[in-house]
Amino acid sequence: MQCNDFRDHLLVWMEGERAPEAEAHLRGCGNCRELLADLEEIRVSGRALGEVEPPPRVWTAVRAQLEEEGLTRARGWRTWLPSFGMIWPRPAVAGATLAVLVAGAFLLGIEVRNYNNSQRWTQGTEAATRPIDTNLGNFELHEVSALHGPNQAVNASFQKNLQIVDKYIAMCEKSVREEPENELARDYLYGAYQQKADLLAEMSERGENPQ
Amino acid sequence: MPEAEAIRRAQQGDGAAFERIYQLHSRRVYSLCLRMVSNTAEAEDLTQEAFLQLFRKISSFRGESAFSTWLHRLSVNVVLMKLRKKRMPETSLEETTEPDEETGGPRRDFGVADLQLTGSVDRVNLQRAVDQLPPGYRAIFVLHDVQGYEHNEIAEIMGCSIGNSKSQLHKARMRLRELLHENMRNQAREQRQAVKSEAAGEG
Repeated sequence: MQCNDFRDHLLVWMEGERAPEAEAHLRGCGNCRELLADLEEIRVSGRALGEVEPPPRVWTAVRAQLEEEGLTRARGWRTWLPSFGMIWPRPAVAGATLAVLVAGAFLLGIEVRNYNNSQRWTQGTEAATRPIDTNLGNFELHEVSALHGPNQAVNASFQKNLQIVDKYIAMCEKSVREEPENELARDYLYGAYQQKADLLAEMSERGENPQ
Repeated sequence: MPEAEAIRRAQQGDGAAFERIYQLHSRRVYSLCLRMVSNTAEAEDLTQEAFLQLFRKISSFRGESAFSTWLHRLSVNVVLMKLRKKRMPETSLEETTEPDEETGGPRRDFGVADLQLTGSVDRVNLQRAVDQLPPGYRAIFVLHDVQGYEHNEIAEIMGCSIGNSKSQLHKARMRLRELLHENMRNQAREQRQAVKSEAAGEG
């Protein structure tokens, strides 16, 4: 067998088929041994590229789109919400605005728990979330208008993430309206506000220290 | 919730079932996208698109093929469509051209002694070379050598024959070898130039 013949045989060799004449050629041909070693190296290295977990925001975006397209039944929301807390890794940032928002959300939880019928729960929730919503809105207006970092991709990503979080705030608000006495629904609404506050705080930090 | 139950419930629009299906398959789909486009933001978008298409079409899934095969076929199509839109050179699976003919690059004898790859192929170099493969080769290499699919599964995913899958994989590996060698030569040249510049600076 010559090198060209071995080349023709390579495909089946790599699949595990060993013809005696190919083995004999390999013993006497350094170039073909090198070729084979390289291909083996590539095959083994491929596996080392491995698999990677997608970031939680991918599912968040899929879920938001499914919701928007009406592809899911409404009753599914409760089982969906627990993963919401994983949407954004919380950055180690907290300005005065963020602190106010967190405190507001905490106080809201206490305040709302004192209501004892659906209508009052709803009213209480709305009364307590309105200032947070307003504060976040103002903060957002400021941060989005100041978003002019050099990296357009990062800016676009912030904008996109902001839209996703807004969708989820809307979804959580809808859930609270539907089941005003459900504490878990309210907790997730507060969580949603917190996530938005974190994101805005991160945008603020980026704005101050563009990289 | 077992996969079959999740599929049945997702076909009825159950949100929790959608999430279960996503949990079961997202890692593989995202990794496929990431290895194909080598860009996390694009891979995220493609994963999102693949799952959205899946969930839009899930009511039509009748179980003629394995669910994961169906999902991966859909995912590969989403990625290839994206690459096509980016006007990257496309390779039909039925093409039997040699790698050198595809790229128009200088033909090299694969058997010629050169820098050896053994022990020198790290993930960065390999991914860089994979990025340079034509999309058809790239898909088969990723499915087989990275994700561990068998040729019969790849044939179903890619809509080709088993023989074609084997042959395309072989060509992909041969092309990767050339690319890795090229990259190694370039790196060696750059190092030599850097040493030369340094020496000139000192002198």
